[in-house]
Amino acid sequence: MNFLNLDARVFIYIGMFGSGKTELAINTAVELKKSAEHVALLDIDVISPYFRSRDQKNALEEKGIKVISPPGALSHADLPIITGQVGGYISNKEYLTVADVGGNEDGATVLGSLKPFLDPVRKKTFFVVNALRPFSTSFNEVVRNVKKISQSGRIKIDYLVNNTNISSETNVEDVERGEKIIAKVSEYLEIPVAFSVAKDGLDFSGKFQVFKLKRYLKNLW
Amino acid sequence: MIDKIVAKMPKSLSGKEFTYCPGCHHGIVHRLIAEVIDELGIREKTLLVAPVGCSVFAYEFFDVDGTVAPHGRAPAVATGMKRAMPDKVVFTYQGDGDLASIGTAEIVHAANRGENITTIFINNAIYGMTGGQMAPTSLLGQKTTTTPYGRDAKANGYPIRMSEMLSTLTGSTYIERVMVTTPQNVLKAKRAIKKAFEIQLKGLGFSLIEVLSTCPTNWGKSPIEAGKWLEEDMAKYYPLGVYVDRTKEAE
Amino acid sequence: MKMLFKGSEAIAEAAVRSGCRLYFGYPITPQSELTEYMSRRLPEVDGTFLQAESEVATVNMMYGASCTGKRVMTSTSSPGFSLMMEGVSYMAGAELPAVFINVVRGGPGLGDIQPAQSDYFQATKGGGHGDYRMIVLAPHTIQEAVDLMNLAFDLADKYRMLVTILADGMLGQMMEPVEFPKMRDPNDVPKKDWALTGASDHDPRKVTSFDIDPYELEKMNLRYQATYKKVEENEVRYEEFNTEEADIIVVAYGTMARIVKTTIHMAEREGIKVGLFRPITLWPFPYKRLNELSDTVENVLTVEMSYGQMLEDVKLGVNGKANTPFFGRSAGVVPTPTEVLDAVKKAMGR
Repeated sequence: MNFLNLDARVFIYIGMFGSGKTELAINTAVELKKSAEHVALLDIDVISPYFRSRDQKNALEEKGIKVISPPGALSHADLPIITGQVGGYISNKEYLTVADVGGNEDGATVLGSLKPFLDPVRKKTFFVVNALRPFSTSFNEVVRNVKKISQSGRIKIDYLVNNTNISSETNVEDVERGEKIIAKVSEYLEIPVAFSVAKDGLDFSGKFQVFKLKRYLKNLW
Repeated sequence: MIDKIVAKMPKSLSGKEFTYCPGCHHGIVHRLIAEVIDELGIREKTLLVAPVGCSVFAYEFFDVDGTVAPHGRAPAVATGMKRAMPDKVVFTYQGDGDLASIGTAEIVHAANRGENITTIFINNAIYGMTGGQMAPTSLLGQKTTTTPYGRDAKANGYPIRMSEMLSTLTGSTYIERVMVTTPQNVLKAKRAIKKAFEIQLKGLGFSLIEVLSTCPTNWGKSPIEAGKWLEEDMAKYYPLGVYVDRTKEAE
Repeated sequence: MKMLFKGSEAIAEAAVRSGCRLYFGYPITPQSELTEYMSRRLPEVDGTFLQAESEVATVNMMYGASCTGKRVMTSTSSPGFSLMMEGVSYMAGAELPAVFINVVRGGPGLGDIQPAQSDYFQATKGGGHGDYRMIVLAPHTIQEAVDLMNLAFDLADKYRMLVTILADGMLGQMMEPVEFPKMRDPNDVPKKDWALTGASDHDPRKVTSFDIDPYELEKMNLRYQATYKKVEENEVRYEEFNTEEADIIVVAYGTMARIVKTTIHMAEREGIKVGLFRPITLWPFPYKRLNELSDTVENVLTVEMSYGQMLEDVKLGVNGKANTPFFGRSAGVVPTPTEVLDAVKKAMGR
């Protein structure tokens, strides 16, 4: 996936809760870092208490990616903290910036508060769909989710992303299942599909470009 | 020879002998509720939530399905029942310690949700069951076993007026304060209780009837003196009347 | 079809499939997703979701709902579970069935929001007052949590008891592929000849934990005890993994057991055969089987995300037949497979 061709400096991932935004945001930042000097990852997930991009902060900063998240011990809090730096990195022309936004309408609402920073910049917003997640398994449900979340985030969605998976057990049929539903949604809402995600090691090719995903958020075992 | 039976035991009372002291108003109120249940023909679908307090045995006195809630939690228990079985009639019977002290949160939120239940609130300005301790509704200066020098606002705050407070909540449909010291106001109290149950039957939301009551034993007054103190002192601080009536809006 | 579910969501969906249509709850991290899932899902199946004003109210709403004989549940995390203890005791005394989910976090007090197992005593030894017991189930994967939900509701109804699923923040928050059982008809539950449904086809019924006469209350208590005995005789559940001819046996439950499974593979490479004994019912605890296993090893190591709570039950089970060393971390810090391996080696004197 070549994000540099997209004429954007800020890349925003939104979607339903648990649709895989965080992994995608991390992977995107890593991908961007291959060709850009300054890359920042904004953790503005005010919803999830665990498995957030801030948990990978050290690993990512070793790769030279700036991770913006609540400071120190507060990163373990369940407080909805958005640091003042977030707006700064969105505006900073030196940086390519990836934003990992919390799930559902509630998670996306935070984008509304960043509107003054987001409006003037070149950005692309990706709506991530995992069609094997609850409340996302049908055309109707996905359409409803896209509408609701773009409303509460007060943001236009540029691309859909097919991230249909059941974690380590994902097979080709699972991804294809997602492609079918998302292709229909794309046609109906007139929003193009950016890519389908396939985990590392899954040999997949389908209707859309494929983005190979490496898993960063791992279980302890 | 008996010509005419003018009063008999309501069907909705079990006939079990009351545990209440002479001059206590619980018995009168129990009877009024039972008469109302009979008149409305709802005994077979009424569920009672009794409190912790002197009326803890209420679930045995009424001839309906019933339970005893933890102290103060009757409105939450009733909420669970009503949500599980919306076609039943659910009422709580609670004293002032139960409703106005330990169970303040539960009654406020049940009222605020407009929970379609009925609460009969017995306010006798004292903890009866545990032996005459201060209640949240005890009057200033009132001597109790925990205010031996009289209730002092500085130390204990002020007697709380629940009907007034709850009537500010939009969810409360009907709230009235009554007493049962004379035949006239007994009739008035019964009308209020009936109205409260009718509101529930029509699905109009939360209704509460506060009944000012005596506790001769813990007040240390004869039944006559107790009645007098209630009318002259308590009723002055807790005025009778309808505090909110949103039945028209709810209809 | 397998789907990707968070533990909290999966438990919620499984409860719906078990015929539960009544959920009362109060938000608390790390399980609010369960509450939120129910708020979306129950209206789809004509169920009732109600956000209570507190955990105190929650458990009492459950009390009221359970009185009517319908299946009811809640979910919470440690501090919330503490608040529910009053109602838990009353429900146990009134022999009301219900299912609780406690997604345990670090404590005591406000603690933190990371996973822990430090509510073991509270769940298994009674956090409320009185001589009561609760059946406590401890799943170690999301799929197992799903599979235990039907059992939880069935046991609750069968014995008129409370059942707690003791999970931890890790199980609540992680995502795994799961498969759900078929949807059960909510009306297809055992007949409850004690339920309060209005005295139309029965004499007035009373549901209560109360009797002022000590001899009558004693009779009630003896009835509870008889039930508990039956449960102890019939409902003990556990898993044994690699225990045959093991060099050491590790006792662990929930997420911790999952971590031990990784340790087992690591130990194998170093030539140590580690067996895992995993209680699935924490109450009733599988004392008997653990006692038998204690004949086969010198060391029975207990590993917990708490500071030696289950250890007390392990000692009762082992009953002096083997050493009972302990390793645990708590407060939201999860032991790693390597740390467990070190504890294994230390126990074996390596």
